[in-house]
Amino acid sequence: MKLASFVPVAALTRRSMGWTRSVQPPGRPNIIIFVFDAWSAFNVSLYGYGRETMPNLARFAERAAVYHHHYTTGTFTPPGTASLLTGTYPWSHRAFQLGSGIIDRYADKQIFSVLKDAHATCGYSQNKLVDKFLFQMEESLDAHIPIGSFSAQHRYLYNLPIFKNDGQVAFASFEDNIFQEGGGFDASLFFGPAFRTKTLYDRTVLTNLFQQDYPRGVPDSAELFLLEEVVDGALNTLEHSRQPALVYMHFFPPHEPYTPKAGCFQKFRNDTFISDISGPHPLSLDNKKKGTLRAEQRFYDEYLLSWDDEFGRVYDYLDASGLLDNSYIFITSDHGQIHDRGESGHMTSLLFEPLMHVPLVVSRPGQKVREDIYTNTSHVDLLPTIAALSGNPIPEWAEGEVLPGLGGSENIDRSIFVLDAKSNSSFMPLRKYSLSLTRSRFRLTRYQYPQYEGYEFYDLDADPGEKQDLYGSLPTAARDMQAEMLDRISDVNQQYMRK
Amino acid sequence: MVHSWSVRAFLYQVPSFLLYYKLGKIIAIFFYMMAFALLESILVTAALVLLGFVLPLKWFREGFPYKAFLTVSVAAGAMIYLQSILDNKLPPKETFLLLGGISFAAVVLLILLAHNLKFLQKVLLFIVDRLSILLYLFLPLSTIGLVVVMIRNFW
Repeated sequence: MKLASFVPVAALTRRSMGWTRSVQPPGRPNIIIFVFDAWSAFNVSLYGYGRETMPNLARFAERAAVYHHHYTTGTFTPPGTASLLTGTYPWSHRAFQLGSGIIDRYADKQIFSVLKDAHATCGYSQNKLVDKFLFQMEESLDAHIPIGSFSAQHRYLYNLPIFKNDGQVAFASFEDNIFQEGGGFDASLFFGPAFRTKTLYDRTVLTNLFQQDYPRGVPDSAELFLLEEVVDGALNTLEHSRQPALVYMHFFPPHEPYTPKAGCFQKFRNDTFISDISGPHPLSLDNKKKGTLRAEQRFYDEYLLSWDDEFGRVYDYLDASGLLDNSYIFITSDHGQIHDRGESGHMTSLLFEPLMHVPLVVSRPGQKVREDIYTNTSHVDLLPTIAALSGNPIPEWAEGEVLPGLGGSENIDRSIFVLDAKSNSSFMPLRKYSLSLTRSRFRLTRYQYPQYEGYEFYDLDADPGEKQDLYGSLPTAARDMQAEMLDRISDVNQQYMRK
Repeated sequence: MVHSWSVRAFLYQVPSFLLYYKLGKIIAIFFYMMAFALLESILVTAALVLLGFVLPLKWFREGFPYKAFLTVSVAAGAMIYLQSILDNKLPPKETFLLLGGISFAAVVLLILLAHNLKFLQKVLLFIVDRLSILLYLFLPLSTIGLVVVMIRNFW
């Protein structure tokens, strides 16, 4: 076992002074946010999936509000997470690309800055792209737990203490640049390959060491980690937190590679479940065969089951420690995951339900009964909701609404947007993008690229799998939504147009 | 050589950096890379100097400029090849042994050849002389880089 899991959290944090102090006023509820990376509602039994992938989540849901139509705002980590943290859509925070940060004017407009006066704030992420955001927000964090604190392997350099004031530039300089991650050429001629060889050697040793426990390989977030150690570390953090606290924890599972523990490995191999997989979309990059996609979907499901085992421990701890009685606990994801239309993963320009529809389960302090909420909700709603729950005013910059069930009202006609613009500059008007607008039971999606342009329109009640594109018949709802979409694009582009 | 490789990598990254970093940050990244390249160059040079002291005078210290140049060139070639084959999996041990063996043999062979061929020595020294002009560019950039890294992190 790794020592890090047992070290008091104050010893691990980059900023730990504030974490150990008492914060006033007392009596306010804690806010605990657990984000599971690349976690699609599509594959979760709680949301009607054909495999029993997350029984412990279902257990938790028995005393929580289950949001059945909750959407992220982007289909990969930076846009989705930045929206969750800032309460704004990607066209505002501009974290469009893998390496991008939140633009400067939103760096201090986020969930930690809203709550920092009355709550001890703590951020932890296993995903380096989110850890980079936490660096941007460090001024508002009492504790920023280093990315590798609960990992079995350490390879990142950007978070070394000498770069304490410049995490973002150090990140861009070292990660995937001076030292490559995976394939490619390092900027460092001699140290680059030497460092990578050492890293790969460490990985081989760890993989061999834990082969019995992890038959498909050790979980990998660029640093190898063990599911149980990460959970131990998280629970240790919670145990040492001063209350009331705002704790944000971004876990890498069930992000690929799908590496379940031995007990869940091949668990669904011989079941009868067969998912309905469509053929490739014109924008599909992988064009994988249906058999391959089904196999990968099964691996994903087995990894989910394995992660759910660990989540069961988290739930038991929350219950036993009394945190369920004095905390709002949010469980969600940054984005979904697809094994359909030729694509596997989430680095795609496609906007379909498995990529956008993410779980959201929220437990109120002392809640004993399950609630089901079917209204469309969005990641931009989390910040205003948390602000309201913690007795703070809702910031004027927030673009979402207070969640129904947590003080907000159901608004069935509201518009929910999801944007993917990874090939568009953050500083230029939106020209190359995928944008979906979901309103009530309808979804309009626009793909705007040099190689492919077009609209698609789906009735999600009649066709939840989005198989029948109704745009050709151009129903009235599609026309209205198209007008709203174009207006919105025009609005958000205004400030980026050349004078 | 180290700096040129670093500049190549930087230029390769610039198009994607332009999508999400402002000019100030891109320049800062460049200076980080230059500062790191300076440290790398110093350590590589130190290793060569150490080699010169450890090996008999005639083997390496005599004709140090062209012999060191040949050694670094072969090592750089080997490292570039290694970079090209490294992926998410460690290559087999034999690959490292073969690469190391071929590189070592190439260095010995080339040094022997250059040691005995005055013309080759002259050509190599001419190249070293031309390349040393780059020092006037890279040394100030690296020094500024170190200052930039220190200012950004310590003040």
